[in-house]
Amino acid sequence: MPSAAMPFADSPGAARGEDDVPAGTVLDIADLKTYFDTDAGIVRAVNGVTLRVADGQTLAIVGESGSGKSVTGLTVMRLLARTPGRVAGGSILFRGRNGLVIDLLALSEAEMAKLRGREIAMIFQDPMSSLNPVFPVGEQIAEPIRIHKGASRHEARAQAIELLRQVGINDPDTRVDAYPHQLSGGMRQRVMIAIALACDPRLLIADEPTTALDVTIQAQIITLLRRLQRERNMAMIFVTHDLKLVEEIADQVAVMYASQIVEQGTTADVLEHPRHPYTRALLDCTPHGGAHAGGTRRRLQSIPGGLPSPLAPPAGCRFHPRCGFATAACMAAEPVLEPVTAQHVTRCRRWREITL
Amino acid sequence: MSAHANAAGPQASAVPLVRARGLSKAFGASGGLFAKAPKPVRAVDDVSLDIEQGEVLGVVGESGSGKSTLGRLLLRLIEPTAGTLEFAGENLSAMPDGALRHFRRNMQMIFQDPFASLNPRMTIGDALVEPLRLHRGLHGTAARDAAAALLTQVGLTAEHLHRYPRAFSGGQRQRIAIARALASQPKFIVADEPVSALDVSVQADVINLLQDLQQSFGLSLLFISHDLSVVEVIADRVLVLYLGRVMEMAPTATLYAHPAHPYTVALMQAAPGRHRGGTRLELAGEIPSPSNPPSGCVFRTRCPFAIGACAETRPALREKAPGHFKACIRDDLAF
Ligand SMILES: Nc1ncnc2c1ncn2[C@@H]1O[C@H](COP(=O)(O)OP(=O)(O)OP(=O)(O)O)[C@@H](O)[C@H]1O
Ligand SMILES: Nc1ncnc2c1ncn2[C@@H]1O[C@H](COP(=O)(O)OP(=O)(O)O)[C@@H](O)[C@H]1O
Ligand code: SF4
Ligand code: SF4
Ligand SMILES: [Mg+2]
Ligand SMILES: [Mg+2]
Repeated sequence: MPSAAMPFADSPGAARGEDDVPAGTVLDIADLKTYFDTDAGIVRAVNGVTLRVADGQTLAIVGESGSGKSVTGLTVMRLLARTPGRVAGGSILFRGRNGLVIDLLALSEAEMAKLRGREIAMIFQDPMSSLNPVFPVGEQIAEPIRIHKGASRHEARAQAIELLRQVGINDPDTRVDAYPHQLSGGMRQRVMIAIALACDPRLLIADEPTTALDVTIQAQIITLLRRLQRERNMAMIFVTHDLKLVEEIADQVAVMYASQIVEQGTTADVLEHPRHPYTRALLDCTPHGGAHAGGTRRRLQSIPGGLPSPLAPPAGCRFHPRCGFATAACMAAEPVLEPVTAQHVTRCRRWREITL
Repeated sequence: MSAHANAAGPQASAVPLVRARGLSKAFGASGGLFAKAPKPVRAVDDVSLDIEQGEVLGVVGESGSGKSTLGRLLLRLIEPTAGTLEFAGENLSAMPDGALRHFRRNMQMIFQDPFASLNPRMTIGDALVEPLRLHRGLHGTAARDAAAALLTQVGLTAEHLHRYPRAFSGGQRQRIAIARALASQPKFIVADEPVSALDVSVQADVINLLQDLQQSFGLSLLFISHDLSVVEVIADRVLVLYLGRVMEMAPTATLYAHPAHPYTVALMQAAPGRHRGGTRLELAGEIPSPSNPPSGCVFRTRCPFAIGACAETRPALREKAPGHFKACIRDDLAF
């Protein structure tokens, strides 16, 4: 299977290297597995994730809570040691600023530390827990600038003020000395963005950066992220559970279900012509407006059953217990990511025969 | 005053189930006992509304706009600093504590966080039997049977009675919270962000359940949410709150098709997926502090259409079409 023509289709077992990452791709994840060893057994939080992020573009990862989105982000950042989880297989290839492809999983912790913040940065789900409460926000923005860019204290502070201005904080000369608790949720999220962008990363991983915010503030942050991304030609992985947000921010979307990517393609393809029954089901249970159109009320659709436990996922297709199209074959063997087009893959063996 | 006289929906009957007039809550209004008392937080300011029997009134607004405070005021869980409250024609604001305790069975609340609202050391059965005993005087097998029936109503089964909350998913816990609220056979339920913590698929299930129960029991519901698309699905009418004040109130279909207040329009356009093409009315800045609200129209500091007159007087809540109220002095705006 020529990997250039079928960008992210599964090729199990094959060793991957630089040649598998076409020009214009900044991140290439293949068959990634991240496990947690717990008293209850092995939690296979990420179990065969394959996805690709293009230079300067936004890939949204969308899925229900517990599907493995955050663990995927943490694995790319190599921040599992804190949790503690382990990578049980797969590869994460990253094309750095110098154009060279690096296997992130092969780096030493010291090498990875040099990359973190500088080439790849992450904004976490909960800004309050990832900001240090005892330091002014200005110092937290200045720190990576001093470490990675070797700037003096004075220069770093000036750059921190400039970054605060760029992320839309009024009166940055004063706010630079504010502590996190003195800021609103929206302002804290802007500070998180400023910290992440301090060293001009090539790839930003934003894990549900607006989930805790009002829609009005969310709209401001989305506009901000899009502007900064354009200006800096930065690629972004935007993790969310909100399909409607995907429509606004993403060029590409990867749908995650039970620790795997079940569909990836351009946002228009996936949202308008989904090729996986789970994507269709998610779209159908999302309220899209017009509930009162025509004088009669439309009920929301729902998906029967719930997300399976990552301790004991169902055999065969993970989605089969909830899928209206499941057949005996679906229960017998696990489907692989199949190319629908060169831009679009699905992990459904029946995508050719079913109409979604 | 004219708005107060007819703040109800189009199907207004002589006596609505819930009637609030000039309801206000200022937290920390200490009455001058302390020389340096901080400025009171005007969380809800002069709200008048009627909720008919069997009606769902949606409440939307940004964080801090006063939604939860309004919900708690309507249940008299907190005392208003001004205004009156009636329930089925009875004056609730003047009801003495003893009578109020007895009256409470008519009104229940469901919260956003189903985890926090259930006691982790109580089985689901015990959590349901408690209100059945308290409000309906049921004991022993009668109480157990009623608890099992409640669980069936919310889509669970009697075998769940012996389990503890930790054994349930978020959606199931919200179903249990709903069962518990139904135990006293209330006429009015305040649901404060009941699906905000849930995934879309689970959210759809819980909304459908709430809608079914509301319709089959003819319940009145105050449905609070920051998600306009969820409110659109369940509400008959919608009230838009900002800094404790009603900006707009209208039947759902009217409000979503023809929003008349700049704040409503901004909220709608900020919601993802609602905005296609054209320029979006994006709100700058954040909601001001309710202890120091702007003069005149409280929205004027963020309103792109504000003119000098907006700072002078507080806009009255005027009825621009039957049942459609807005508090904005400008009638020349078209959205
Ligand atoms: N007990 C209290 N003491 C002082 N201020 C309070 C109290 N409860 C609420 N407030 C303030 O009243 C205002 C309205 O709060 P409320 O909780 O009603 O808002 P809300 O619309 O429910 O917001 P959210 O969407 O965040 O739940 C806020 O400024 C809040 O800080
Ligand atoms: N440190 C950990 N130990 C054990 N299980 C974990 C740990 N972190 C995450 N998980 C489990 O991994 C799965 C995926 O989690 P996560 O990536 O946080 O989901 P999402 O971000 O999609 O909501 C969940 O079942 C979660 O409970
Ligand atoms: S492989 Fe079978 S069970 Fe899985 S999504 Fe496709 S049709 Fe459904
Ligand atoms: S009264 Fe003035 S400030 Fe208030 S909403 Fe209307 S135009 Fe805007
Ligand atoms: Mg997460
Ligand atoms: Mg609230």
